[in-house]
Amino acid sequence: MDNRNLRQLFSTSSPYNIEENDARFLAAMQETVKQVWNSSPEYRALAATFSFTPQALRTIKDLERIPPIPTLYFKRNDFTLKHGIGVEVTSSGTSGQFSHIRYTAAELLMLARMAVTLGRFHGLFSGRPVHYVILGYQPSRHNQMVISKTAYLSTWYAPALSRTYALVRREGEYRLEAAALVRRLLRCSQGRQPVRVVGFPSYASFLLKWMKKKGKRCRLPAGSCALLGGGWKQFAGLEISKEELKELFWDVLGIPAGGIHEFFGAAEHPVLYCTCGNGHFHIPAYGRVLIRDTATLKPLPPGETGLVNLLTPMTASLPLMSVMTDDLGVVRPGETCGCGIRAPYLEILGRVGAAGLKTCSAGAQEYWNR
Amino acid sequence: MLLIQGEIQENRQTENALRKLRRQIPRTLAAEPLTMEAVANAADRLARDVLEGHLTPVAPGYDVMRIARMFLRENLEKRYRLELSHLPRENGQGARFLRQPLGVLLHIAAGNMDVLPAYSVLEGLLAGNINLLKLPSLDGGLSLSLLKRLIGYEEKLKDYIYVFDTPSADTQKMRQLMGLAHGIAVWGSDAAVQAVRMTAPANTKLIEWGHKLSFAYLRDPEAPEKEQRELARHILTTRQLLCSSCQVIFLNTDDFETVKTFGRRFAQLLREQEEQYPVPKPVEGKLTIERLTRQMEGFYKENPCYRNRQSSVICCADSRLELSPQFGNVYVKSLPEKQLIAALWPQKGYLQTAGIYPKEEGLIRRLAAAGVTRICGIEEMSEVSLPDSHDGRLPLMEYSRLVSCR
Repeated sequence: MDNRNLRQLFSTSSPYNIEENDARFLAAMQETVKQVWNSSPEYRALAATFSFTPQALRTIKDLERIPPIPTLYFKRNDFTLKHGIGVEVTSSGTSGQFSHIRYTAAELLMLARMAVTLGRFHGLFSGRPVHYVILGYQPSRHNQMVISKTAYLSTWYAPALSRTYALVRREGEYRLEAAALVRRLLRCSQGRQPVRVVGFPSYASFLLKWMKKKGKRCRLPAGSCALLGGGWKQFAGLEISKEELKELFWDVLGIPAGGIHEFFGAAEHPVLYCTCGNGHFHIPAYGRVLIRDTATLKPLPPGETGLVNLLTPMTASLPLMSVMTDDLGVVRPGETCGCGIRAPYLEILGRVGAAGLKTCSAGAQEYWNR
Repeated sequence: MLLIQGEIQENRQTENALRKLRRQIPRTLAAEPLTMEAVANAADRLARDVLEGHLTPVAPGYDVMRIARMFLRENLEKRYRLELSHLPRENGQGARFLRQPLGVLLHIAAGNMDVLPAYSVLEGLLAGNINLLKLPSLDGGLSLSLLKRLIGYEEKLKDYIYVFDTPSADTQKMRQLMGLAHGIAVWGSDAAVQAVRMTAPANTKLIEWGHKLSFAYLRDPEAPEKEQRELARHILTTRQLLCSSCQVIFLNTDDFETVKTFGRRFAQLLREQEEQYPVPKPVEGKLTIERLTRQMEGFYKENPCYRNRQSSVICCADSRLELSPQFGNVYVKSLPEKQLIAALWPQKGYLQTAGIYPKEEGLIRRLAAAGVTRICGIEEMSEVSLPDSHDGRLPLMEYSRLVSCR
């Protein structure tokens, strides 16, 4: 299969130049849509419900005509698709349902190129060896959760002196080893090698708050930074603002605001979004974001809040071309950020649903709090 | 926060409070019994505070005035008469019966209605019990302030009201609380009820107020528009979140065309009123995603849907009673009257209200036999009559026992 346009798109050296990448994006998307269409009868049936065919995709505006498939659909249904052998990743399903996605070696190479390009752009690479403190699961063959792999992969931006995990696999199960982690951080603050804290922002905030409460503060060596990614969905109600988190990092570990990099991505949307200097997720060449009306699903203009619909031509192993997330968000013009990147940026505002809903209809509480 | 003998205390005092309670309970049980009059007096003053505007309990989305009226003396006296005045006094064979409170009643309250925890305690008081209230996790302080005020109006009540803020996950403390009680009134979802069943001691009476499902049954699908409009209003105002909210409208027919015709017209009735009851964006988003998923799964091919901007009617090919998508999205299904009992059988423990048209004795008998516990007109599903039974039982009776005495 010729994926020339896809390869070109993922090897761009200017990941935030929309004009330069639009044509490639569209061409790559046309290829992927055709590929999925040809190999999956389920996709053809689904697309027919929305009167969508690959021929409908002629201009960049037509991207909105690709039926946005909810992540919920992937969790409840299967697609038969012909695809090469590869590595399987699983989304961190919080309700017991998981999506399985398989990438070929060629696709993994493209994703690696993306990670390298973005890493370079955002200054994540460093030749100086660092200690990694990873707030997540120690990877193992028992754990295919995408978040542990991304956490592991982000330890490749600088050579590793050591990797310390918060959740360590012992005797067949994961154990939280918070005390050991804190000891490690305190010890590192005595040394000269920088530290990189990697993991969920939720775990980071819990750890830092706990350290603060116990009076365990330190100043990590210059060049230390935090690479954070993942959501808050298991911890609804415990979220803290980005500002608060920045405060904590500075107060407890001495990591300045400029040293905090956040990532956003999803198993169903293998595109990496990295925060700019102003903490915004500009949309890179590999993906597009549509915001849709919460009732009608019509695409909304920039600045309006709605459902976050993520698009990418990456992989024909599943119809991930247009994925409807459970997030509410808004896309703003790049110019309004002020960091210099012209590509628009995505702000995630929350999740759909009604956690804490008051109801006494049988089964409703379970449904809405899921 | 805890409320122990009229005093508000910090959560860390829980151990202390439990020790104190163990000493105090036998003394209170030995004392002069609590009279219904004393309870009704205090509750009446509390209700008047609200009705006269001196106190504004935060209860968004609920009719505060209607809830306050439930606390008025005349309504409490009516309840007492309805539920406890017709008990047998003697058996004609030389034994007389004494009604007694259970003794100590633990309320494991749910947060599904803001005033509910306090009201559950009030019911326990009316029957004469010592009440331990375990607050729901999202209580926000309302129950505590209402009950403290109640004690302020009748000092005797301080020995009959104790509030704990122990999380359900703290099984050790929950066991201690349960161990003190003669009865446990548990409110909440299946999971909440199940959790109490697992931990409660075998010799403690459980009074379960679980979550329920309600529906409308139209023996005549040509019910007058006025009644249907009221049903539509009920669906929109309650958002189908209450145990008495209509989830499914059953039609006495086996013709799917009739179902579709009805569905189309009923969607129109919802459309006329939906703007008055806007749905929050995150809820709307979840409803839309669920709808999109079902559309992709081909669900609507066999189950046509008549959609408005927010509300919808989904005409289903089966006859199952089930939870609707809620927030103004109702199912319409065919269910010939002869199959009524068999069709409702799988949901037997969940059945609550049936709104019916027309009100006809044969239909009422059939629904009663199916296990429904409240039957009213389709236009009356939102109406609460005072006093009334609750889920087929009389709470004050549930919180009492009869002593046979020869």
